Amino acid sequence: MKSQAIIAGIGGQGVLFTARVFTEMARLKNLRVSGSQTFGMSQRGGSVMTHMKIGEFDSPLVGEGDADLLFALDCMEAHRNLPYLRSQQNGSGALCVVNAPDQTAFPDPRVAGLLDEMGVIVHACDAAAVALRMNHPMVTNLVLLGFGASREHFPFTYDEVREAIEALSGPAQLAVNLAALEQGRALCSNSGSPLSVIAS
Amino acid sequence: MAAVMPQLATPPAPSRLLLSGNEAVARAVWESGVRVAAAYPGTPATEIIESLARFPDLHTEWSVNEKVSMEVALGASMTGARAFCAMKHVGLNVASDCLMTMTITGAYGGLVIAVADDVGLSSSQNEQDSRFWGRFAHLPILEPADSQEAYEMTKYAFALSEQYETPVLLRLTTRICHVKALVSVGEREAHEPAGFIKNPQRWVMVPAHAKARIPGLFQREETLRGVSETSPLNVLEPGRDRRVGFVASGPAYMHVKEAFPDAPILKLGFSYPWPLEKMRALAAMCDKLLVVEETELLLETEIKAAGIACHGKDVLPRMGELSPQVLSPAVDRLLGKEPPPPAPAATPMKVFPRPPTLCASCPHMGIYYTLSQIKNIIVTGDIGCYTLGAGHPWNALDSTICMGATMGVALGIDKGRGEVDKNKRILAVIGDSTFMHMGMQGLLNITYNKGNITVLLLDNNTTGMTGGQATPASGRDIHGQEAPRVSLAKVVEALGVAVEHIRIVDPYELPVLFKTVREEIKHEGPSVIIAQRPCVLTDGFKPFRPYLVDEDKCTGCGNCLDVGCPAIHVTRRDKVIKPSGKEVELAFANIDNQACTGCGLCVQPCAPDAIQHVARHDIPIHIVKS
Repeated sequence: MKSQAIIAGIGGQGVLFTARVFTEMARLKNLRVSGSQTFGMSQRGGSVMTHMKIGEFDSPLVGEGDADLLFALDCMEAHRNLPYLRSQQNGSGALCVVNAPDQTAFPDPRVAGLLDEMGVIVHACDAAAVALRMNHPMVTNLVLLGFGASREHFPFTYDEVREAIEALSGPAQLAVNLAALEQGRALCSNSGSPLSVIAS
Repeated sequence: MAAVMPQLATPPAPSRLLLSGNEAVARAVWESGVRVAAAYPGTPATEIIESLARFPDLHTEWSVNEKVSMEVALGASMTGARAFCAMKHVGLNVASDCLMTMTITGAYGGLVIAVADDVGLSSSQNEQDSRFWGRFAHLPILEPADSQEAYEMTKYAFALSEQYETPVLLRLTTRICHVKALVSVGEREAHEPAGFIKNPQRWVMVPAHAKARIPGLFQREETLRGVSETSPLNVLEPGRDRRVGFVASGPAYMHVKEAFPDAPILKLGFSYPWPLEKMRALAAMCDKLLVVEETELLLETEIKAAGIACHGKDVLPRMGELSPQVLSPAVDRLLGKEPPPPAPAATPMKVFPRPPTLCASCPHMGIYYTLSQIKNIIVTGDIGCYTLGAGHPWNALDSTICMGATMGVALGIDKGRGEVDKNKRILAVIGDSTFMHMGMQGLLNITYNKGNITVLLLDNNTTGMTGGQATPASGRDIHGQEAPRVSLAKVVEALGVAVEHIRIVDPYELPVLFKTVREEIKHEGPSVIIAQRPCVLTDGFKPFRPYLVDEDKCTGCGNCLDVGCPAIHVTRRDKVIKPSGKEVELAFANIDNQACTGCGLCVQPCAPDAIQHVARHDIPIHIVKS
């Protein structure tokens, strides 16, 4: 398996923990993995992103046009990192999993059209609202993970995500974390077409 | 992949852990039997000592600055103990005074200095290439290219240090420090210190003693040149495609390897003294030689000086991070080819930038709101979260240079100003941790030289920007244990500020703060206003009930927006024509009560009294708004 992903969000949303889950999933599958982060000033509500490379790679950085997956905890950060997504000219279409409060992740029809042309499959859901409803806004990232992992072309299966969360969570958080994953998966069962939003 | 390490036979790895480069270095330091490890926090090196603090059986500390941390490590080495210190690139500038003499005394117990370059300035005031310190101080440099190498080279560094009695520089960059990967680790080996031996010729660096030791320093450098020449850390990978050969170290090697897997590469892990003969061998086997360096053209210059033709910064960028995507078109140009057009990628429509901001309820906002309301002032700033005061909406800082510079710069402005600036008041802003790092000397200089400056000492009880580390004024040590708590007010008094001009204020109480600042800037002479409130990211911070805007009362004056709190957002904009005929822009605001912690800063400038506490029963209703 060789997979390149960009995990994006805003400082405080759990980008680093999400990246930790990806690396743990790779570790459990005995795959080579590197997760490269830029933080420092970014923790002050700035843009945060992680380059994930799973499989036999050398450079820790994902190039523009190379990412198989863009996993975004924020719509605008998804938008900002679009140039990383691979076009279907370089293989099958890439995947974009995004936490989107509105009706669509990319309201501008030009962007949606371009992504469609590139063969990018967009899965959006209002993970933040689900997490809020659970009274745990901190688990937005895990709701989105549960959602993404139950979709086709996600680099890991739902069970692999759950196993990683079980390995990483402290006893106090485990139940909530697993519930968040499950909520994300439930969103998935009434799935729609590409570019559609799963209503929460 | 990680190179094979000489000298140290790593025992069969008992386990593989997912570690960042920083954590890998920490693990190796602990395993190497180090007794003393010291640092001052600084991105991207902070987590090395933070991780080390969780290991048993060694002394770890937050030192007040990098120079002190290096001196602590040197002292430990004098007893024969293995010792370590870590810093960011600008930290080594601070510590360089110690470094440049420590290279003459040499090390006794293994002594390793990790220095992390913030390539691309993710959280620094400049970009520097710390490899120059190796040449300048005649010290060996090891450069890992991934977490596994960071672990292995750290262990090797201690052995190297003891074998040649030399401090060793471990050069890291952000893409080592903050990249997580699987690392095979071992167990701790004990290293009992051999004991301090009185030897003034070695440790007392008076001119006669230093002079006598300097020839030995050059001899050591020559010996290390030979070690580097044969070191398995410097690997010549012959490759098949001989059109371009590469010299690279650290993450730059990884980028080359990924972009040109078939090319000959000299991978430098032992990068100073550099293995010139290996470079010659590489040059002989390929048509063109490209030296790939983050960030300066250090090797390129030396290779050219040795009479070997090579390319480097003529085709590669002089600053910032490299990547396979930066390298590929540069090599194409070198080969006289047009770089292929990039694959079609989704170009985003305009995305607003999301720069770092102060946190909701950050006490610094009270300071900068106040400063933004005062005219005719010059405000010098310093390094920390509070540097953000230079930005929107406060625009309250006029300079930021380096740790502690605020005091010196302020005094220089005071003494240097002419007629045109004579009516301006000069203020110097500094955080508590920066003050103890390098600011105290500057304040002493102000009092001694009779500066007419008001210092704002922002005491948030932590080192905020790097994630909330303890300081001598926080009453906690690196482990969170109780520690002697220094009184900033007493320090300031001892540095010569008159007691009546040392004022302690709460930055949340805007009227008092405003009045205090007005009073002290009128005073001819030095004064210090200590603004005390804990950083919102520390345990000391206790949130209050959040606020919201009564939208019926909001007049759109926008005063609350001037506070700069990220929890306040504009809901609607409008324009009205005043009876005077003047057009006024209105901005109606509300508060995200998820983010609001009820500091009350925005309540104070709100003219129509529209900002009110959220009623308890309102909170859940307001949260679930989707």
